[in-house]
Amino acid sequence: MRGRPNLFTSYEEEMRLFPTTTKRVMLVVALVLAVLLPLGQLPGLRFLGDSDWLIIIDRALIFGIAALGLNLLTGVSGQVSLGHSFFMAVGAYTAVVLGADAGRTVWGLGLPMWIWLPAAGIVAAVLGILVAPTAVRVRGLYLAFVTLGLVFIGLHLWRSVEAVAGKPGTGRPWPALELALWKGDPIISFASAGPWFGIELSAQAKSYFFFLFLLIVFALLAKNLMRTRPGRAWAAIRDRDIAAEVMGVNMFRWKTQAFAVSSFYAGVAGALFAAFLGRVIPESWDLLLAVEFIAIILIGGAGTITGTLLGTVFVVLTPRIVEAVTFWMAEELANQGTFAWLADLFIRKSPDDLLGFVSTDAAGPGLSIFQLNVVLFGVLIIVFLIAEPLGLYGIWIRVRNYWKGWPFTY
Amino acid sequence: MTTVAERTDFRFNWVDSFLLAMRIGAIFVVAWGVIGALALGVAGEGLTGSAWKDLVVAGIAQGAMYGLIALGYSMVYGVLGFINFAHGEVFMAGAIVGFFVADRFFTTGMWESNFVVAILVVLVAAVATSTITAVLVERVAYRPLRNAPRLIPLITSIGVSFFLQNAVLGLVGPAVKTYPQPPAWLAAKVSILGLQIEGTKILVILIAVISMVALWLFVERTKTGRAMRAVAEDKEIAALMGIDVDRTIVTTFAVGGAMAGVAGIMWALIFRGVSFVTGFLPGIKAFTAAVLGGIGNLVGAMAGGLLLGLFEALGPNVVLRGLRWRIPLGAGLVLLVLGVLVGVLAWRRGRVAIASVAGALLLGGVAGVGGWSIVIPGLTQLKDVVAFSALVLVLIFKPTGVLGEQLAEEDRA
Repeated sequence: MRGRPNLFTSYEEEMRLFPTTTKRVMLVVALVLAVLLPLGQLPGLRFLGDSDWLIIIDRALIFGIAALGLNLLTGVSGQVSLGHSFFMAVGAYTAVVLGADAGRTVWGLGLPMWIWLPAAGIVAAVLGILVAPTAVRVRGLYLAFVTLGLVFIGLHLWRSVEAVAGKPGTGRPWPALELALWKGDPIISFASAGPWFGIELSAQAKSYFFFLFLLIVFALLAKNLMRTRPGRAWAAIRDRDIAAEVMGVNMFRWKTQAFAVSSFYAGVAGALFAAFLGRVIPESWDLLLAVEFIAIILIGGAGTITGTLLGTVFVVLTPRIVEAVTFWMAEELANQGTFAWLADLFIRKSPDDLLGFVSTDAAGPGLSIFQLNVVLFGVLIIVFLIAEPLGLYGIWIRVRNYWKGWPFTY
Repeated sequence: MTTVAERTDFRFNWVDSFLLAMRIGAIFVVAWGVIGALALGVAGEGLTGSAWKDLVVAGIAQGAMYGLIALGYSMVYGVLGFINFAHGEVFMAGAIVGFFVADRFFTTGMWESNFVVAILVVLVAAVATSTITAVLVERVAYRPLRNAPRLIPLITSIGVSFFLQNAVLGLVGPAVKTYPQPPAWLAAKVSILGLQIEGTKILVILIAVISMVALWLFVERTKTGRAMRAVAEDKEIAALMGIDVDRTIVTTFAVGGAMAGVAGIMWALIFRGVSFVTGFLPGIKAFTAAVLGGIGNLVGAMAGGLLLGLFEALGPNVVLRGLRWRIPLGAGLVLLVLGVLVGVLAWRRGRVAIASVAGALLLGGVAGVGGWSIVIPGLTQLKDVVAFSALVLVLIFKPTGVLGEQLAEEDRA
């Protein structure tokens, strides 16, 4: 504990990835927790273990990668893109064509993961580069709508090209997450249960470690991009594009790079997402998915890595929590527990129930849990944007600043 | 005019080359498709004359509906400078409530016996619902964000859109609700100017014309309309002139919502089926129409709507179907020669427009020599793709729209 925090005496010191001791300590704590999270079998430790929560966390890690990409494009570089789900789909379909085995009606080359995973990112990045010139011409809201158009053109494509995407409504199986040298037996398999270093792990836990590793790599890459020349150029374009160009920031070059990097992230995440789920229908790559990423960035805090990761966890976990609460309420109602009166207000019991609007079975009027989530999602976006424009990161900053001066208010 | 000597400072520019390539592609596809469709028609393989006329009428009727929704986008954009994504849902709310009133009339028999009164009441109900929805949305979601950056209200409006869709879903269920059949005398075809038009389509076009004229008179001839134009020009100065800005903005939303309500009934007359997702695509297409005509420009919104309706009706069935036609070898050779000639001219003049024509001619020549013929599957499902391609092309090549933007200086981005 020498000197003041935030007192930097050299440029290198200020530019370090993790400049303060607190940050370093917190990083180590977070990493240790992250590694312990899926382990339920260690003596004296009981974290998430093997529950279905782990699947949601896996999903959050994948979404985190994609969100980091959109954060670079929208948060740092200021180019609003509603087409992130399109680039994810491009990555996913590249992966399936390269990685899956050919079927009677579908293409597939059956290549190993170390080819299809980077290729998914690269193909998406190339498409991103193709879209970028539009971004040089078209700004702000107009760009949002052009990228929105991409989502719909993409949806039509996936639905009509069955050789790539499989039949509408069923999709096709994706290659498993296995690391093999060539088409033989995998060296490391993330898709089947088995022991690692003497610890018995489920497939989800293994995927978890794989995704965690990739997320850390991508987050470090993003952080490095943000603090070096590309990040400064992007931020300059975001803050005032004309001024940036006057100062010698080549608009075309940096906007193209922003699109390329962001689409690369999206492509890799899309491939991982589809491979993790095993089967994805063409209709999943829709606007809701793209807006989910915009929401992650806005809820988390635009332009920050920490914020993006916080936002991802929030957005991905909320539906699961809503689901848990809904089922708990239904149970409470059935057992006439203490909170039955509360559940009575929410759960629809009969078709002509006026107050209850949530139904636990999919049929009939009333919101299903999925639809309730979409509603909540809309409400959350509105509430966050009105109440805390800086997002979760802004809340964290306020909490931190309060404790920094505690017990004094200044 | 650029001379050859000045061309020495020609620098290769990625953006311009890319845009030139897109321009060439667009001109080539459209020209090939149109000529191909005509050639196929002459050969008796294309659509029949009456099918053509039906498409045109359907396009105008749908286009009028898009135009009315587009007015809402255009007015809000003009006044607040952001795109109200939830406007499509406002339209849907009107159509849904209209259904319940219409259904009630149908069960009591009023729909058949006194259709004019019934449809008027339905119209009033739809307009009232849409207006109230639009005003509530403005009050709850947009007013607190009045001074935030543009992106924020856009994302909020997407949130509002999801909320409204699912709220309606929760209230009325997911099933598609079908309006009762209009009475036989209305559905019958009427012959006007050699066109056989269904009565409902005439009614739709009539409603659109009346609403449009009423709106134009409102904006141009009333005091409130003048206040709206003043607020669109400059909010602060308008406030200094004694205009209640908040109230004017609410009025703008209300009028836009009312137009969306009218459009909801038009949708019901054309398609009859409404559900909670009805608002989404027409909403986005109406935005396309607003951009096409020049956003902020009321006449442009209507014109853009009609244009988009025609594009949608004719694009897949005429232009894309025409791509089946093989360009004859002889014509291909002629096109190649012409392309080279025009290309030389373009190089000497240094004009992009001529260069894109030259490129399209060359491509046509290649297509003729190569004997290209493209058959696109699922043509009728391509309507949405056509609309979005139109949006992308307009945004890239003529973002101010066909009739030009009418916006305050600061809003031009």
